[in-house]
Amino acid sequence: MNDYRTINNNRTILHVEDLPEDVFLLKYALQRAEITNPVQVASDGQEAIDYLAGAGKFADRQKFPLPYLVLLDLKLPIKIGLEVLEWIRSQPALKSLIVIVLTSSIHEGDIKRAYELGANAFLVKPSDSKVTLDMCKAIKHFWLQHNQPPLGAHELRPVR
Amino acid sequence: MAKKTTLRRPTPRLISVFVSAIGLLLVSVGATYYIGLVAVQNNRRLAHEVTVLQQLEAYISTLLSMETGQRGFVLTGQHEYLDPYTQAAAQLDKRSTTLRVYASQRELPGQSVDHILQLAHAKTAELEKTIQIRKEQGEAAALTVIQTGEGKRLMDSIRDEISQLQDQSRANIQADLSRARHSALIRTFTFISMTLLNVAFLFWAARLILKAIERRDAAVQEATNQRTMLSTTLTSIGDAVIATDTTGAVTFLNTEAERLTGRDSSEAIGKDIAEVLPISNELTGQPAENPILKVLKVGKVVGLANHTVLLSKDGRRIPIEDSAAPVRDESGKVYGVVMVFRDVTERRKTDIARERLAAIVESSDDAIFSKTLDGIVTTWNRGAQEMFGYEPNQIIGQPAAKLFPPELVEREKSVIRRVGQGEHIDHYETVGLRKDGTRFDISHSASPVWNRRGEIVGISAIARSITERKRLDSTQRELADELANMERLNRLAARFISERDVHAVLDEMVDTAIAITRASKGNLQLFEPSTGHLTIEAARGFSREWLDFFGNLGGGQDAACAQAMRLKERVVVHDVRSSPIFAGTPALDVQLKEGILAVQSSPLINRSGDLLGMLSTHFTETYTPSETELRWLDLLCRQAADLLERNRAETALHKSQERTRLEISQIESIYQAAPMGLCVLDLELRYRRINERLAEINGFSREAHIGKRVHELLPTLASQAEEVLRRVLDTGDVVRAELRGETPTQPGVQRIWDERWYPIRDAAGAITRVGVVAEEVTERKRMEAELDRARAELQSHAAGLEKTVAERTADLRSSIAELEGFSYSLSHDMRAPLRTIQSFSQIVMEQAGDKLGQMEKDLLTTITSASSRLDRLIQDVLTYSRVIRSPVRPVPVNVEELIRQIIHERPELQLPKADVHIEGPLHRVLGHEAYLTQCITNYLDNAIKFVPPGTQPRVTIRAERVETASNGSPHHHPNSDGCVRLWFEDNGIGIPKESQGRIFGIFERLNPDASYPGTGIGLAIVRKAAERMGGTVGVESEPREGSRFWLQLPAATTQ
Repeated sequence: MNDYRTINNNRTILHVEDLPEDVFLLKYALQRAEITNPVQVASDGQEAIDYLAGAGKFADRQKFPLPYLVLLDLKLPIKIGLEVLEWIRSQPALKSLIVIVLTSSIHEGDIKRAYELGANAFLVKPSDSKVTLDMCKAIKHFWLQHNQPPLGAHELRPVR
Repeated sequence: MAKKTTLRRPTPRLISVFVSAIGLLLVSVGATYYIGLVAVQNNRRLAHEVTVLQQLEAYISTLLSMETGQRGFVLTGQHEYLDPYTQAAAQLDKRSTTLRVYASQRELPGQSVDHILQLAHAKTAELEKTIQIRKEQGEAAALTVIQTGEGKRLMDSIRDEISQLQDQSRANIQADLSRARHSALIRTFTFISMTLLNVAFLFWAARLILKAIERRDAAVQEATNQRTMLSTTLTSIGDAVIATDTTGAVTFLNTEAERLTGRDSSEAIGKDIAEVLPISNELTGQPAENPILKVLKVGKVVGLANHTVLLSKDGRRIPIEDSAAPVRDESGKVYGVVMVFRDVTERRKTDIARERLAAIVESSDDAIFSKTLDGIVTTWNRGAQEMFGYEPNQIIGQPAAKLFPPELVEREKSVIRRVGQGEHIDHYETVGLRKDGTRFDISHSASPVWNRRGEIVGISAIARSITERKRLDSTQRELADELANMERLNRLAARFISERDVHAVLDEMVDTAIAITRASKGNLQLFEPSTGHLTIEAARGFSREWLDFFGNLGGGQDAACAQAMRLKERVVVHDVRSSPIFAGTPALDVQLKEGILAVQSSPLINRSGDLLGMLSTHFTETYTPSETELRWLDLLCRQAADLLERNRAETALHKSQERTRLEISQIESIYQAAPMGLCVLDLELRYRRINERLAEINGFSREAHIGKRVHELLPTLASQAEEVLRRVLDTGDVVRAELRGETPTQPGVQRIWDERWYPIRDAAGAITRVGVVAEEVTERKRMEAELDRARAELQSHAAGLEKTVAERTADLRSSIAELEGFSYSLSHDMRAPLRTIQSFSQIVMEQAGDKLGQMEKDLLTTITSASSRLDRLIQDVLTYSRVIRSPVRPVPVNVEELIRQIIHERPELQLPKADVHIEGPLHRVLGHEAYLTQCITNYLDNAIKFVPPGTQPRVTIRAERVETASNGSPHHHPNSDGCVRLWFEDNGIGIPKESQGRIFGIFERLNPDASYPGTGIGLAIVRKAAERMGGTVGVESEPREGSRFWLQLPAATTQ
């Protein structure tokens, strides 16, 4: 079993979220959960795609490395989360990227569609900050410590 | 025999010698003959030549004679000198002819002869002339003529010519003579040489013949020796031997043959065999073909036919047997026949005696068999076979003890012992045991069998069946009975034909059955197919009680007739006390009380195999029917069945006629009273029958219609009617038509009839009439037209309405879509600020709690809980709206399992926090698992929430089956099997009666938020979810006594 500190602690997490409060709440919870990974934020769908594609202002991969894990809100400006997810799965290089949907929607259609498009998990944003903390701990334990990413997932190359 | 054949066949050498000798002889004979022939011819030719010579000589001498005569006459003038002349002249012609013949035969050259004859003619003429001259002119004149020398010259010429011919002849004769000498020489030589050769051959042949004779003598001697030996043998053997040659002549017979034929050899030899050995067929007395002659014919060994007798010379008839064989030489040629035969008189006598005995034994009806002193069966006759049932091969070699019952075997052994000591045991009565195990009475005798030495070697036994004897005794009685039965049946048959009163015949039938079976009681039951019961129709000799008990029987009852009815076969109860039919039944008591010990029931079955009834007879003693009785009973049953069948058929016919009559009258009344017009028309469209209704429509009385044509009564309809009639006749089928016209009742009004015309056929299938069903549709047509108008209006209205509906539906759809959008926003957008408020308040509390005063902390807590409640509310509303929208397809759900799972996942529903108890088993329901979970969770949450403070919540869940209809479920599931009501009983605070009606409404809360927080949507969700699953909800409660909530759903069909 890989130890979080030795393998996954320095991998980038891309948080796709338009609400600054939620960005704050997640960041707060990640800190409290002692997740030390660098977190990049994309505030709308197009930005998320640009980031992942290394386009525009995200061209510098040193500064904006490909994430190991994407936390994706669904209700996003410009391009909604499901569109982003669909784009990701259409990219050969990103087929195995871990995408966790994190949204306030409990709309059944969204859940079904997200899984169909290849989401790795579907989480509902908790109202209670304590529950948010629990959730972040769970993400840490499962995705960052126990989960085995596909080979080469940490050395993804820029796509173009 | 080899020598003998040499005798008979000359050697080839000898044959060749003889052939050569004969050949030689023939050659010499031929040669001699030929030479002789040549000599004879030569001689004949010689003789002829001499004759020719002589003729020539004679010719010339005749001429000379004539000349001499002439000279004499001339010189003398005396006429006597003329005589030689005239004689010769007379001969000359003959001689000339002879010469001509020779010339013609080419024995003399023709030319010379002609010349000679010419000359002779001339000479003759000269002579005659001179004679004439002498006579007339005298001597001188004549001499003058002669002296001319003419005559002499002629004569010389003739003489020259003839002497030439003579020379030639003489030469010929010389040649012939020389040839004759030559041939005589040859002849002599040939003869001598041939004779010498023949002599040589004769010597040679004589030698060979002598040799052959020597051999032959030796062979004959040997053959004689053999013959002597053979004939001595043949003479001395016991069998008669007779031999013949190929013609059938006897050549030999030995002593025995002499004895049998009664003829000595001397007398017999050379005679025909048929005479010596006259034989005939013993049975027919006809002469039989002698085997010897047969052998001669077929050339093969033949045996004597059986039963041949020889008639000896002294008149004895001797049965003989044996055979005859051909005698062949080396080349296989038959040259004689030998017949060997034997007197079988003695043997024949023994055979006949044995055959007679065997025939007697075999044809005896008694069982005759023999056994050894050990009791093993050794012979077995046909009588024994029939009596005991064993085939000979099944019993011979087996112990005779098998033939007697085990208890009598010892007795049989003692019989064998006594017979073994020479005793003869005469007829004693005992019991025999057949192969099939049945016993029968026999009269048995046993005698010892002695051999020639006087030893007892076996036992001969004779058994005679006494049963059989008894049976024979009773035959006469049975015949009398049969005659009586026959008379009864005849009488009965006669009555069947004449009697119309069925019951009287049935009574008599019962009497006959009683008589035939020698019963004391009897009855006849009839079978009723509709009920399957037998009912007594005729009975003799029964008590009222008995008849009451058995009067009407079903097939399942305990009675012989019931059994026979089931089996459709005769049932004989030999003894009611031991019969399984009656064992332990009340019927047994009834029978015994009636004094009945035995019953027979014979079913009466018609020729198609249907049961018609039952003929039973009852006996006061145990009973076993005899074959004769059964046969008569069968005949009776046959008659009875025929009678019943006839009766049934007649009744049925009667009923059917009655029914038909009734039906016709019903049909007639319906016809008349029918609310539609009915009539029957003939093919000329004349009314043959019409009902009241149509008569009324047409405006004439019914009577006025009959016999009138449509043309006369309703002229406006005539052509239409003709057209319809034509179509009916063309198609042969029902024709529907609409007829329009006026009637006298409503002049000027166009009336419309909807009519059906159907063909009516006679028995041969030809259409003779048409039936018409007419319905006036004038009014209906008018109404239909109005209706059409109304419908058109309605349609236009409906089209508008549909449009409206479509518009509204579209509106509604967009509303729903909006609502969905609203709830989506609600879930996402409205919850986001709430989450922020709540989370941020908590973070402030965490980060700065210690810097805040109590009041600020309380406010922050209030913010947190308020926003949390709002979030809950939003989520519940969303759930509610989802329940309203989503379609549901109920499936069978194991609700007990589901509840256990819910409890398991929720610690607050488990001990010690709460005591939730399932009173299983809970029936499976038709539902939707997620909705059910929602309902159950909400009920349980309520149950543990609404309890007085400090009380441990206690919930009991149980199920109850209810009928679907009673609760008026809005949905009915075709695969549901009633309903299941799930009860959730708590020990909570209860619900006041007046509030119970509204607690399932949305946003209904009964209790202050402080003590029992809630959104007021939970029960509304339960109700909605239950309704979506086709179920209902409800509550029964008293304040402070807990509540009993229920959820009723269709029950799943039990598997």
